[in-house]
Amino acid sequence: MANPVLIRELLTSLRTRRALALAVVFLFALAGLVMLMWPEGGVYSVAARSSQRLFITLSLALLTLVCLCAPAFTAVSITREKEQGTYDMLYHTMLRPGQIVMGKFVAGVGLLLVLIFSSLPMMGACFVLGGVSSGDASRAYLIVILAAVFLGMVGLLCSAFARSSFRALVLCYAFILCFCGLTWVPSIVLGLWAESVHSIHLVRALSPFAAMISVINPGRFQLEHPVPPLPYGRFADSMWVFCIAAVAGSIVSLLATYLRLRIPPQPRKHKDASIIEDRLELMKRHVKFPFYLLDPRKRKRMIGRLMNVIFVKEMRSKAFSRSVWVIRSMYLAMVASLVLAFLPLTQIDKIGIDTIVFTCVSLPLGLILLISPVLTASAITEEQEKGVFDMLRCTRLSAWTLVAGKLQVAWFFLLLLLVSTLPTFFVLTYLSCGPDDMEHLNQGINLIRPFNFQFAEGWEHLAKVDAQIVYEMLSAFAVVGVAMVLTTAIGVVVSAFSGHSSNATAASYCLMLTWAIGTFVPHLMSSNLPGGFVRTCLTLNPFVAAATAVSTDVFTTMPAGLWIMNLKVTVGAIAALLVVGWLRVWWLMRPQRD
Amino acid sequence: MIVTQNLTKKYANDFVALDRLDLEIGRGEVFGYIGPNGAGKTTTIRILCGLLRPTSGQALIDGKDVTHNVRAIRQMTGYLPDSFGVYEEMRVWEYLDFFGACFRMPGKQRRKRIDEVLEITRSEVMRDYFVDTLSHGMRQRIGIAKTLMHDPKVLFLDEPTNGLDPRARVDMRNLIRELAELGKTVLVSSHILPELASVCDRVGIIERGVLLARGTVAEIMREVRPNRLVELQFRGDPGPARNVATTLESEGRIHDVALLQDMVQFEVSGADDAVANILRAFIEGGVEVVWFQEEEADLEEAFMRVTDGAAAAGTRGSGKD
Repeated sequence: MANPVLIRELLTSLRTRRALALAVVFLFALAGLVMLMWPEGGVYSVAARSSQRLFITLSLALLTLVCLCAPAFTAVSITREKEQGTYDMLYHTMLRPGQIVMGKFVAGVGLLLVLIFSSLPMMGACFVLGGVSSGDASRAYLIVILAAVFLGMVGLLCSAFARSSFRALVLCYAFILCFCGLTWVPSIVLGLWAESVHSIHLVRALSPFAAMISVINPGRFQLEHPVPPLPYGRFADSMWVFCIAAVAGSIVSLLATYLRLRIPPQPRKHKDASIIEDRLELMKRHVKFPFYLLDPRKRKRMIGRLMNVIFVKEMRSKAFSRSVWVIRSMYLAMVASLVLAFLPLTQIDKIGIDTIVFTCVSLPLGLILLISPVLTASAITEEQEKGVFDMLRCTRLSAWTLVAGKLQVAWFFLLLLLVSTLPTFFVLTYLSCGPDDMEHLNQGINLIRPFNFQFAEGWEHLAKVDAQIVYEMLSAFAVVGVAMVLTTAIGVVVSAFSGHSSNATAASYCLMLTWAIGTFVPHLMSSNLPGGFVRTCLTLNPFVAAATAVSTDVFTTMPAGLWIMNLKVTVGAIAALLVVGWLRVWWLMRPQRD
Repeated sequence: MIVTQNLTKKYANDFVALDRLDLEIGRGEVFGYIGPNGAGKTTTIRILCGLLRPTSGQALIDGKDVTHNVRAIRQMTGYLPDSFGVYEEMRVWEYLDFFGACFRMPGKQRRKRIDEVLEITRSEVMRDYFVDTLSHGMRQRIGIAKTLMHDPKVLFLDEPTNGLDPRARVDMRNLIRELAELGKTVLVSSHILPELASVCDRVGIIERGVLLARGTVAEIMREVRPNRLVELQFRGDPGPARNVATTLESEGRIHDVALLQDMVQFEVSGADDAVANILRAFIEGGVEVVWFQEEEADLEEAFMRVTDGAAAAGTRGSGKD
């Protein structure tokens, strides 16, 4: 008998505009790539080379799109039932948890597989040009399909455990980022230092991108990431490492989702609403729990006259604004920052300054990209979803106060995280210093450090440090700061135009990844693309801009002052986005026609 | 205080939610806005609050057009939607403080007002509760407290008794009455007429966007049922009762006579003396009367008569309320 969950999911998802829009965007993106990379010459050997490049690009693009789309299909499938209040009803039918899991899984991943297979004609273009074997293409598709199944299953698992679609999406994207990107970090940072540590290469091989690159371009991969003979086979076999991991991960996720769905829905726990007025008691709590810098049980003050009401409301009501959460996140960011700062310094002679510079500026930017959509993509939609927006419209709250309050909350949190990554900037400063500067820097820091407090003398020494170094650090920080503002502005604008937080989060992640990573892709295919186009794309890229701000040794082919151009463009984009966001919210707050 | 003239709202699919609505609500009046689901109650309220633009016609509150004086209207009105959201991890007083600040009330005034609205709604005990953990009844009270924060002259309460238990319904009705005593003009909607009959000065019954009846409950009852329904129970032989009833009907003094086994039901037009004369006629006709009484006006029945029930039966197309 047909699975009723599957039928309902397929009917509702195929009826939506989202399914059609996603298919159109997906196929147009791939078709655009084929058009861009199609060889102009008719010489066979040139065409074959182009075919290989096209195959490489298409495979990577297909995998990237699958990674970006998988959460949109499955990560909200169970949480949406919870939000709409239909989960309890579904649970109390005769359906078994296994049927619910399979129905949701097949519907979500099935659609994703349809999209993957619809890209076959474009892949067929590579065969027309020659130079690509059917074995390579089959292996590439195997990786993409396994990635879709595994990430789809992880999305379903997140959906089973999370209370809201928003949280499920954030969890799922965070996992994808770790699984696809973080697995590369140990081998990049420690690779040369720990050539013989096989486990590091095993970790990297878990990433679907490592597996894909090992299949589509094994020669280049081995050249850039030489690996000693592994006890478990050739490096090209990293594809099988990924395949085994994906299959095992899918099974584990499936089981965990099944077990989770067997537990009946639970009512929310009662919260302790008591407030502690006694100062002594509050002091004791401070001593007991140092995390309680802002004790949740201490009576708060009324909203101040100069405060943005939305900012205060968000700080009081949002989970991420709880002091425990904030401090733990800062702590994690600082640890990551210190590790990233310390490890490259131990092998500076081996991996070179370029890599260190790029790694150091990547940490704050990566954090911004990861967290910004979490903070901003539900800014407007959640007010609508909670049913509070109409009540806000009935007050004297202005559109600008609403937009500014939402942005302020995101900036507050992101700035705290950026401050936590300052050690990386100290490393950059250290690397940029000559012997004289180093002497002044050390003496200056020594004089102003705690228990010395000789600020005047310390500052004199610091002032003698080459102004160029300070300028470079400030430039990099400016690029990062402006990138932070842009990502939050994107999130708020997307939220103002979306109907659901989940859609807004997915769209924000896609837009931000397109901006931060998509603008780097033309550089990888620079031989096929006009130089001007590649330069323009790189100018927009925040990673490139931040790296060129602190070092003239990276991206030497790019014109000087790239980061200034990046700043100008980004500030312009922020201004435009803020105006659009404000106008949209202003319009939403006006009397509506429907 | 509230005036609408030819107020019409058509949605994109040509669905008419409001059809030339004329309404007048006086200052300090509690007006019950009754209608089945999908009749146009919420649409009216949303237009009056400045949330929705009418297709044509005009709506005025205290002489100000709601579509052209949005800020003034928002300051003057308080709106409690039928279902409204709350924020997580926020205490009741913080929730009220937030909405007070949204109306740009100074801090000191807000602090005082929070105490006042909690007292009015008898919710002082909930002051430090987390607003997202409140029961439905408690939440409705806090919703009204929020609506009162900026001391509006006019209150729009959209189905505030929906989903409440019997005790909470009574409390809510008392609260509405108290709001009227504070001098507020209250427009309260419901899909059940008896629910509001006891607290409203006047009611309006709407269906399919058309206002079918308006006035006091008694006026509407008279409109719906112009004659008084009387029941008479007797014992013994039904013959005399049948004879008297036939005679009175032929004389035109009673109508719609129904003779049951030991009871006669009929309608009487006229004042109390006419009813007394009819009773005398039965007794003089040899009928052994056990009891004789006028049947109380059934608000439910009156409502069903005014509205044809088509919407409830699902004959109406989809649309917003």
